[in-house]
Amino acid sequence: MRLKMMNKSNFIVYSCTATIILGWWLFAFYATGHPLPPIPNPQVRIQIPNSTQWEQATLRDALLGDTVLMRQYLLLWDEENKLNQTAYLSPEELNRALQLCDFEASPTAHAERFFPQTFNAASFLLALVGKDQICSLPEGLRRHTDLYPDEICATIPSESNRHRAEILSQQNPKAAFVSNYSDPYTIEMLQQQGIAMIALEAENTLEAIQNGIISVGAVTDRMEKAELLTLFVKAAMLTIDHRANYVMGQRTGPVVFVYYQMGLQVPTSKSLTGYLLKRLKVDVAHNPIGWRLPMSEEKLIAASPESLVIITDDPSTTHSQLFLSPALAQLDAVKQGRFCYIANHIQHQSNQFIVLAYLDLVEALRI
Amino acid sequence: MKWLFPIIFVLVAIGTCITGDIPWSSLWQEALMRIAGTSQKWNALLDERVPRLLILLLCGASLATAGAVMQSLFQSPLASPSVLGVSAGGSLFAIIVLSLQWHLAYPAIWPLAAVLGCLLTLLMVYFLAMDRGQMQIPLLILSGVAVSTLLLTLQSVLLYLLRDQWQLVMTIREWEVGSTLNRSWKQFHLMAPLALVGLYGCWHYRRELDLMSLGDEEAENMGVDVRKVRWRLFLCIALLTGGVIASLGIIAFFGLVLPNLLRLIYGPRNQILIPQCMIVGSVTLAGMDLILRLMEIQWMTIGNVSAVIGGIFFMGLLFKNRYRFAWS
Repeated sequence: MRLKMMNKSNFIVYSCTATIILGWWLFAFYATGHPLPPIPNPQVRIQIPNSTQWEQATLRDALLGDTVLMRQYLLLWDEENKLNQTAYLSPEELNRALQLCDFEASPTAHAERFFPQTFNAASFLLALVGKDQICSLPEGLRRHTDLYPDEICATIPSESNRHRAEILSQQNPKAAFVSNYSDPYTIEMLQQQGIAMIALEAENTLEAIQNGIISVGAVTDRMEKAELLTLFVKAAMLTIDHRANYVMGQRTGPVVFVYYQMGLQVPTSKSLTGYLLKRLKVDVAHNPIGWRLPMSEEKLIAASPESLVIITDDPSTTHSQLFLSPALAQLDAVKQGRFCYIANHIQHQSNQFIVLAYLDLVEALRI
Repeated sequence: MKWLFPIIFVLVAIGTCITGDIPWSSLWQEALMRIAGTSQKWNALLDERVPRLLILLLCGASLATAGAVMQSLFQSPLASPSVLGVSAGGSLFAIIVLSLQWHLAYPAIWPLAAVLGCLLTLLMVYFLAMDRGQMQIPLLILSGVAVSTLLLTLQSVLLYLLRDQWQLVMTIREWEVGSTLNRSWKQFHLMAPLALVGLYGCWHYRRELDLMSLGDEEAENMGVDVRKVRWRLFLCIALLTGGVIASLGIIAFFGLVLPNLLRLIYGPRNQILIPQCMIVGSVTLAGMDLILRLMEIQWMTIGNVSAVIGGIFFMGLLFKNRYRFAWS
């Protein structure tokens, strides 16, 4: 009888406790809510005079080494910059680039193979050498199919293989491209196999990227193509500079660039985005160590941006999470539809795709 | 001394409410308009600073109380949610939910997972530390270390599986270090019912805890249903720790340091110690956050500060107790 009474009292205690907790959550999370702001219409943009529209996929193909496309773009940008009387490649540089395009249209066959230990090295190799000359690709690189299409990557083996050392010894690469952050044991393994190692700079600057392309070109015996790619990247950045200058001149208020991952963060001067924002003369938080700094919603409200650029790879989830916060929904930039999403992974490409990262930022500034 | 903590409490509360990027004058006007119902605008005071203060107060009270109860239940000054791996268990379950992104559709799953992880870990450590029906203190700490190591390894496996999704891994890392940035009413609602139920449970059984510290047999002779009270206190510890993990992340060693310091001041009686842990714990955590904000330290979170201070304190405690452990 006593046991039965105890069981009954236990049941009451536990069920009351569970009811309090679940009832609280039910009331807090499902009884309230506010509508999300609509994703803005991308047609509302600052119009840039004398500018051509570029397809991201075509520009990507050019950056992945398509010399025919490179030639078309170089001539198109030359015209655009002549019309706008803005700085571009010098006549000598342009002539040299066009000569190299013609030369590269009939590439010579190469037999040596190369092992890219970093994303950036893999990206340079994809642009400069044949697919069969690349020993393997980092697994994570394949996820970004917008930059590295499946048809290119599928035939190249994956780097994440437990027998990598054995496979490498069979492939017998002429050289491996590493960086200062490469895994020490992999470096040791490469040393033991007698594979020459070339260290590429890991700085997020245009100069470091151009040096990287030239280094890879020199080692792979594709110096002309490397020179062409650096000239192409330089031409693209100069053309985007002109657009950026025009857009920045049209703006009246500040623009805030934020990442969103369970909270807001701003890019720092150490990140590629920070480097590009400095090129756009946008103030960037200084941090010699990290790529991001957390930002409070209150700080964002205090900044009262004219436009808000959100850097994320999952815009739909970010949209539904970010604007659950009434703080952000009340920003003038959000109310007026002056916010947009740009791809996060592109903002981390410290290689020839810096062009796409820069273009994304400038396109976002047009909103 | 009697008025010291209430005065600090008021100062910390005022400091938290007036510290921020938006000037107080405009904020106050807008807050009054919101209260009067003439504005619906988001207000940093009402929607960010006040909920953050409440979260910090509840989390501080939760961790300190959970630590004091664990130290009393296990009769060891070294017991605390982080030392015995309870936080690691809650964290692992929360990370699983985060990886599967279930929390986006059902926010309440996150604290539930954290509570479940904490409870399972606590039970595992407890049963591993039992030898012939008796709790063995050196075995308890060893069990905690073993279970913690296992859980951290499982967490590493999970993060290794997710290694190509480095942005998700970064999010998990950022959450783990215990940040107070952008806390709102959502996080308050996630943890408040857990903390309030857990704190009430610990406060309710503080007398029984004192009797249980005499030994299970003596406590039963004095009318305490030891098994029931122990189980309910385990549940309370899991609710308190899980609530903190869901709302702030991992604040390591806070539950170890504070009860030990307060025991030096107020003595070992839980009837006094537990209410003091609730008050001082809440003020201390909110005070730590306020100092970080006033000094504009961006590169360190409240979890980092707590872990560094607590780690040194933990080593001190181990050093002090080394002869006792060697002897037992």
